[in-house]
Amino acid sequence: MLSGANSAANSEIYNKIKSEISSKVSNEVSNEMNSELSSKANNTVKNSMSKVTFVLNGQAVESSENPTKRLLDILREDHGLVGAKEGCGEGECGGCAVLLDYKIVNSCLTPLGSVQDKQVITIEGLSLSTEGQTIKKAFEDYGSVQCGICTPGMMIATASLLHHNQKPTEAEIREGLSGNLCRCTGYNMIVKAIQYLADEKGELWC
Amino acid sequence: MSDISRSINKVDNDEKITGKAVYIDDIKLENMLYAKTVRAEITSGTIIGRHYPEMPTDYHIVDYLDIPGNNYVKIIFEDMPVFVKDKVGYYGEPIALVVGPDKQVILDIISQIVFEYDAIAPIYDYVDSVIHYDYEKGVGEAVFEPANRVIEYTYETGYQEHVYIEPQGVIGDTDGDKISVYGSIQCPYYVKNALINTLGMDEKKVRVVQTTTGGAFGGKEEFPSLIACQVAVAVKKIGKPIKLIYNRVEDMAYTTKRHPSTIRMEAAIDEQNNILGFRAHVSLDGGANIGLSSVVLQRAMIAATGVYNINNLAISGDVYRTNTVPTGAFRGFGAPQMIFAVEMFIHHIAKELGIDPLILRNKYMAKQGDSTSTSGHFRDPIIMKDMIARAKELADYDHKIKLYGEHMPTKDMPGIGMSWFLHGCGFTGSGEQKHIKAVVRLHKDVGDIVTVLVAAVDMGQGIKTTMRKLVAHVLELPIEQVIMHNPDTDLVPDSGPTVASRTLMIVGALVSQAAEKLKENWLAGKEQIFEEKYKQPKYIQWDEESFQGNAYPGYSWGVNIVEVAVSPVTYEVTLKGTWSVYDVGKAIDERIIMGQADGGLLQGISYGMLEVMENKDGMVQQKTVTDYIIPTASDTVNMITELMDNPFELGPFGAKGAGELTLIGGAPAVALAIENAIGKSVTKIPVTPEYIMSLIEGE
Ligand code: FES
Ligand code: FES
Repeated sequence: MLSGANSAANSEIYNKIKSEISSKVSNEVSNEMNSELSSKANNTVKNSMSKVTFVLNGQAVESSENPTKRLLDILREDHGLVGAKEGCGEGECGGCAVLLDYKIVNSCLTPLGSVQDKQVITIEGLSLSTEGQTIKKAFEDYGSVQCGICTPGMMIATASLLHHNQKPTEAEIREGLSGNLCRCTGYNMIVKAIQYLADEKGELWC
Repeated sequence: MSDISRSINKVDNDEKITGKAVYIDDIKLENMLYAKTVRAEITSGTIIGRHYPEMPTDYHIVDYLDIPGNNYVKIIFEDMPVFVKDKVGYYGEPIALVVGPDKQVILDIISQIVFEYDAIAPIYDYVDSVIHYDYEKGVGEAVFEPANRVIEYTYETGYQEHVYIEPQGVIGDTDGDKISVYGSIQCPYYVKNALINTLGMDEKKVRVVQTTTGGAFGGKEEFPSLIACQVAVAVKKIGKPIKLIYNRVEDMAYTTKRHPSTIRMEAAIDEQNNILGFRAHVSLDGGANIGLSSVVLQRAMIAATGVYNINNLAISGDVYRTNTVPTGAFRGFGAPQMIFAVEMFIHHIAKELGIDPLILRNKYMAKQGDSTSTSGHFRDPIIMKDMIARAKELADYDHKIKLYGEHMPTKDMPGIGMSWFLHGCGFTGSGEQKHIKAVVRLHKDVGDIVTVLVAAVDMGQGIKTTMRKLVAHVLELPIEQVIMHNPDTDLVPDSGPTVASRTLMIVGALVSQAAEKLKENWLAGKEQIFEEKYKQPKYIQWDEESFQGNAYPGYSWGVNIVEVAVSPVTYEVTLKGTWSVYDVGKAIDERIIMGQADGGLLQGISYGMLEVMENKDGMVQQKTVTDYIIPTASDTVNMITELMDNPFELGPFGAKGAGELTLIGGAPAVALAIENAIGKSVTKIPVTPEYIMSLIEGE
């Protein structure tokens, strides 16, 4: 078992999401990606040494890339997971956000080596889970999406926020989104979507 | 038929929310090379020597010598080079691209490139006028002779950076014969025409495709033509696909921004405290290239009276060339600067005359039938009276304005401000007829699926949803039976650029006319095509030389009320509330308009109080989102917005423009709120804590 077991992510809900994602990942996410992953995994197993092992969207993966390489590049270039976007490259915009043991991190500032034995969930994975689909529906109903470039990051931020605080106040919601810049929406309709989720869908996270 | 304003699930929600939408940086083509820009390191002067290192295999330098056609970016003024030949106009001006397979090697090559320059003294002040316009209304200048008193104020506005979260980027590709450019762009045909000009190629050999665009706000109107030309020149030379993506620092330092301005306003006042007329002069900093600046200046000058009816005017303006990064299109296009000045000025006049500003404003508020600044007419109903009443009620304005402005130095100082504004929709004057000549097409296939063929791009404003909804509504079809793709110039006619709040009102009107025709002639199971071309309404008579006539086919209107609290210790401003009412004719999708309204207002408010960008020695000082602050969710409040229907006869289902309108009132509303809080006249935006301190404590 991987050491994510000790983290905050070790809640039932996390495991539930994880298993949901991994079953869906193997069914729905492109087979092409899976075979790419497994061939990579095979290669890296062979040349052992400094490989980094982690769980990506519910599946164990290994990377023999330089551990200082940005997780963002690993995801986008090696795994074809381009849902995380580079908006600034310096940890300020949240466009590249992913869940690391169910907590939001900016993958542009996360070195590959630091995810050793951890669980990484990207927007591609999140959106397959019940939580992801529930947030998605709220974003649709409240008009939270305009150009969409910040949206994967906003989804990740919402999941991270609600995971750690099922009943956030408006101020806590705003604080929870404050690492994610959006230039289109003025945040109004994103905040409203999350208020709805907190009011009506709290049971999903508790 | 159901009310068209009722909101539907946006057609691109699914792909955007799940991360499946493909933005330019998400595309990887086989054998694709990367490009990076090599830039000038002086602000003004001439290149007298170039030293390029030996190139490793598969690495290339691309510069002006490789340009097959004309070395300028086809915009309005032909003064922006694709690559600098010898004359450098601003720090960071592009001289060449280095192209190759590995980004790190490219950086190493760039570090070895040396240019020799002959530098000359740069110009940063408003001295080199490259565009000048003036116009009069009524007796013009002469109204100042009988004036009892003249009130004069000068207003200043700073740069604003778009900060679309997706930086600029394009990919070029070729099949050996034809060149295709994919990109994050607003105006596929602007890019295509620029490519034809710079590549010297036949229009059939050039193709432009828009990729999902992660925000634009005007920043992807003319600028992408520059990088598209550079990359296309490189593709033509090298014969492989090439990707050029700006990082945030490059994007902030070297792409266009909103024009800084200085606006001098004078009012002629008679003995009864009537405003006889205005005299105004607008100075815009154009940066090193004129580009679109002349059109921005026109819009600013035409907005010189804001929502007020002033009978006599003498308005002039200049665009100044400076050795700084070129300024260009930004949501509002000159109007935000001018509306800030006018809204502050009318308050400052009232203050000087000892009149309640609201009484003065109401007295001059334009009514249907009144003449516009350019001696045209407001033909359509103006419902501002109701809108203002509603906004005041929502905000509890009358109560608060009496209460606030009393100084309690130990407590936060509350303040409330209200702006009134309008925005002319579409191109100024005869622009649609003379320059754009929009064409739209509807194609129905044998399966009765209807495709909307227009060059309009969805950059977040939801046009894919609203266009499909319009057509589906006219044809009484489910929205799934109507399709609209990202524009590809090989497939769509030139319906014009996605700018100037024209897309729904002008392009949408043509599309709905085509849909009406298709409906009348519908043949189930048959392929059918219907095309519509723009015809200028007869009432638009416009003289470009004298600025006389109806400058716009129609106007959208708005009221913003903003409440703030100013800290008496740090002078920091906290947003407390916003209340807005807009007349955009008829919303085609209410939730889409409300979303645009939230985003536009926040951009306007932060333009007015937060966003600081300075240029020092020709260099932009704020080059990251750490240094250039835009609001986060924590800086923002619940924004209350309402729409009032006022259908416009020429818009589809009565719709008018909405994209730009919602930004325009933000800066004056927040500046007036701060003025109310601190009891000092604000004449400059952004109203930073430093500026507030200088107002309160004196210089
Ligand atoms: S790209 Fe990582 S925070 Fe902006
Ligand atoms: S929707 Fe465009 S940046 Fe958020």
